Amino acid sequence: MRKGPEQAAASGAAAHAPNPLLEVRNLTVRFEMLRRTVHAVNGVSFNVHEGETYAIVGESGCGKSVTALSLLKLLSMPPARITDGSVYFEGQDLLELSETRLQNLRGPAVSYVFQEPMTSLNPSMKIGWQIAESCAKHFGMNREKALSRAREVLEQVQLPDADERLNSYPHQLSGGMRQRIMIAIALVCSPRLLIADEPTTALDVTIQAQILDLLSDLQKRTGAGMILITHDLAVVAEYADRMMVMYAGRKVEEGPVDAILSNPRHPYTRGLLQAVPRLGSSLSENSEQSLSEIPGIVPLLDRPFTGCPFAPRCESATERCRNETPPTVEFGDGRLSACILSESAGARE
Amino acid sequence: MSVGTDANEPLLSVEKVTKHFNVRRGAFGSVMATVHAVEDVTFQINRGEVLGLVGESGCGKSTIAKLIACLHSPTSGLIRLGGVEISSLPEEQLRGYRSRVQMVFQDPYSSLNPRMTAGAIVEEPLREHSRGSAKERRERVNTLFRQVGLPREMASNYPNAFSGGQRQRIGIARALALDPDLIVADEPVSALDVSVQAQVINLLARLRGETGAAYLFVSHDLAVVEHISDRVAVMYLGQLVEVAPKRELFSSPRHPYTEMLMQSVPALDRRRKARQLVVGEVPSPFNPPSGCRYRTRCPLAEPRCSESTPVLRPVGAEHFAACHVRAPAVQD
Repeated sequence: MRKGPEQAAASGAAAHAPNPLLEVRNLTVRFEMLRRTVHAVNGVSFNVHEGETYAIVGESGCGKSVTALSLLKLLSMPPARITDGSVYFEGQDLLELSETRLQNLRGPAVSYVFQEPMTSLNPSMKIGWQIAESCAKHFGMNREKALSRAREVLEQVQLPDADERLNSYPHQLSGGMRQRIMIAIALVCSPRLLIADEPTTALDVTIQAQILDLLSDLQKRTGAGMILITHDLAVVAEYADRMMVMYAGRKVEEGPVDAILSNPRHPYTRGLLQAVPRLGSSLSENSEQSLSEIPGIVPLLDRPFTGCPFAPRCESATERCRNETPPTVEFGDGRLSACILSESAGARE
Repeated sequence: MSVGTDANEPLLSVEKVTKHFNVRRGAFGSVMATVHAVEDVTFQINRGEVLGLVGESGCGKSTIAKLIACLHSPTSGLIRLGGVEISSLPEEQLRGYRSRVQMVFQDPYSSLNPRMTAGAIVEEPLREHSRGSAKERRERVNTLFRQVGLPREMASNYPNAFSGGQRQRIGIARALALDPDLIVADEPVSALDVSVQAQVINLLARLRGETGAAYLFVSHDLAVVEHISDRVAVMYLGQLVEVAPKRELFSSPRHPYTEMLMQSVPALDRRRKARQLVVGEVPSPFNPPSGCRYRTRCPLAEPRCSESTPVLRPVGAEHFAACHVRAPAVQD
């Protein structure tokens, strides 16, 4: 027996469970445009376990969304091309499956919650059927049965007046309500893995708290795995068990959330953490201090790198950093850092 | 440069300003509904001060920014700059006002003309207001580029050659060109990534020291507002609910909405908080609740909250809150 999802999530110990729910190995994605090739994701590997929330963090263009969309081949190909890697979900490599078999998995096995609640819903279809549709398709339910399942899920996502909402159209709902609908659609087939791509970025902070609390509660109750993609480190701190930091299409740091946030190993993670203004900062002694900046900007990904992609912005970069691909240093406690400077620290442990 | 005479007089004074937008059926049709975007708002900004204005989307904070920048005119109420009331000014004097109040916009992509070079964009306000000779203007542009940390050689490039953070620097240089007394910055860092956001916040803080300009800093991000402001005003559904110096506000918020807002912000240094459940959503500004507009979501709401609208009352030094429960009217 596996651990109950609640225990696993609470302790972050899911990392030691024998078989991961999802195992991504060396995922490499390129966008082949007319004149250039964008190296969007470069050899990214990670696992997600049952009952675990795994966060992928990074700034725009770091490849976090492309990584998530690649898992079920939701990118338009071309221009995208998955040039290398494998995605094992419950023992089978999703990248090898035919489109028909993938469609059968989207919904009951893996489902997505997207960022844009305004554009991800069909404006001319009633909410009820938008939720029920995938139940009818995947489980062969008749209309009535599928709609009653939809109603059940609407109650789970705490949308008031569920009966009335089944017959509403998206434009009649607020942004927060639409995002609840998106979550209902994602949950209606009881997926084993939920991928939430910036689920609250378009929402106000009070609604964000409601939606994230809801997602987190529902996930704990069903024991599903969750990939939470976000640019907001504070969201990660509150809701995720393990995390990966991406930069320029690569994994630069990985490990349990608490450990990384209290003691980041990679200079980029450190820089990000120091650059965020914190609530309550005015109450501390040195409140007049300026924020620490990461100088420069994110590199273009239209050519392969030599050396560390972060080196041009890194304060501690050496000549080696500019010339050698950084090794992935393991620290033994489930933590990884792709930095030459971590080498000595890693070796000691 | 400054016209104001009395040093104690606030730079900008917003008095009982209300702004309604009518929604019409077609361009000339009858009024179908009225959006109560800003209702009876009063506050001041002192010289050289940064006032942060926070609230959720649709609360009217951008409308206030536009009212102050003279891009909207108020339905009722007064806006004074250095003691001069602006809505009654004739057009030619309004030009003078506009040169003293400049705006930085949220979207660094759509707020720059793609057919103008960065140098021309920054120079445009100087040309519009006939400041200096061509040579002097060029020198001023060079100075501005240096001030905002852009390489001077890039003055001849078009906006598409710049990153998001650099574009926002161009927008800031344009706002500084006329040496304004007040900069109205509407969500100036919301479209930027974390690492670049810190650069722009630091730039704004540094420029404030260099130029002595006051800021109205509008943002939905409490932590950013706390970092950059001297005083903070909190808005809810078109009304100010609390105003205080930032330390006062963040150490002892008095309005229940401010409390809820602060609780909702996820924090880096703790796991999922046992937060008071955030209830409900912001009601429609077409038909706001009677009395206190927050009462429909407020855990402290009492019958009197629906009967009359609370006004800002003092609850501490320079600290005001509009709440019948937390800041009751003094009984005679």
